Amino acid sequence: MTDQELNNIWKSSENSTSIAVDHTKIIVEIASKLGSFHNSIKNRNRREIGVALFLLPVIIWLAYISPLLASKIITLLAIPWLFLVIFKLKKVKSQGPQNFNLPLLEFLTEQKSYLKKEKALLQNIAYWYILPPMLLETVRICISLSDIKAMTTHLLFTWAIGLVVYLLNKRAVRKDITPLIVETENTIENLKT
Amino acid sequence: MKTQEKIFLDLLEENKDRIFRLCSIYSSDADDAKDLFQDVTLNIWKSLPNFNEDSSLNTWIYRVALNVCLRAKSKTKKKQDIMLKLDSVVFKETEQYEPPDNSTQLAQLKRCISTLNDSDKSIIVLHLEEMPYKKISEITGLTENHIAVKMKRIKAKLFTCIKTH
Repeated sequence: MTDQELNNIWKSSENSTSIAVDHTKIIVEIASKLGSFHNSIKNRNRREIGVALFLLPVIIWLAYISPLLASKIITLLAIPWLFLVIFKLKKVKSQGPQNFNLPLLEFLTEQKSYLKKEKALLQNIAYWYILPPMLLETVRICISLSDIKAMTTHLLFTWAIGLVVYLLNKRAVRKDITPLIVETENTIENLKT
Repeated sequence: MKTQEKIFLDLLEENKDRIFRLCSIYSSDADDAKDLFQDVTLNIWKSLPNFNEDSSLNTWIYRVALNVCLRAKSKTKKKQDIMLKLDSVVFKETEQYEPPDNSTQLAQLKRCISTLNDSDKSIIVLHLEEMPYKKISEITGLTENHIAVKMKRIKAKLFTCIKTH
């Protein structure tokens, strides 16, 4: 089979589906839908900040009602942690690959870089998302509760939650992100060889 | 009509069938291909302001389409963005559609293309759309020589597959 025959076969694929674009409406529709889409992202960001702002007075109130000074301080330390979480999440989201103007190889390289950052974020989640509140809560429980049984129950419950969150994120890395990285790397490798 | 709008509409009208063929290669079924086509359309509009004239518009549009197709493949089910459906893009099954005489060969060709890896698929489809190596090089970021070498290998795989079936 020759090149020309191959091209002729391909070109003969006149689509059984015809595409009609309504020129009078499409621009308005795209602008409107993209506007809604961007608003939904803005709203999501506002919600996340809203949650933080909601938790802020809750934390301050919990610190206020805590009987011991040490307990108050421990509770207030949750505030910088809260903002650290939001900052880290926003940073990764803003780095998502969106520049479709790039040549394919560059685009895939950018995509791989983004996925690796996301993987690193989740792999280190124990250090910035789980350990700080777990440690703070552990100290707070030990300071606040004198009953050993109650203390043990609270501690076990707290650390169980931390463990579940840790395992869920490990699973996400293993099942979702790592395969995507491998696939992107393979595509880049195949493109280069 | 503003310039960007006119450019977008003309580009889309001129290239819609080719883009749809490209989307079909990266889709599992017809509905998937239609969704992907709409995703590509949206991203062409979004990306147009950033077109920096380092290539022709017709070459650029393929770059965007290919990148969108490959990005769509790599999204997990959980992370699928909500597809923005465009009511102003209408897909009609052609009435009295008659399959071409070489429809078996066409089906074979598509089947064999589907066995290629994503990067080989992208190169062969661009070639089948009669893009010269220079333009394929601008779209993929590879050199023309590299494209020529890959093309030999890809065609060999394709011909072997077609002959086998």
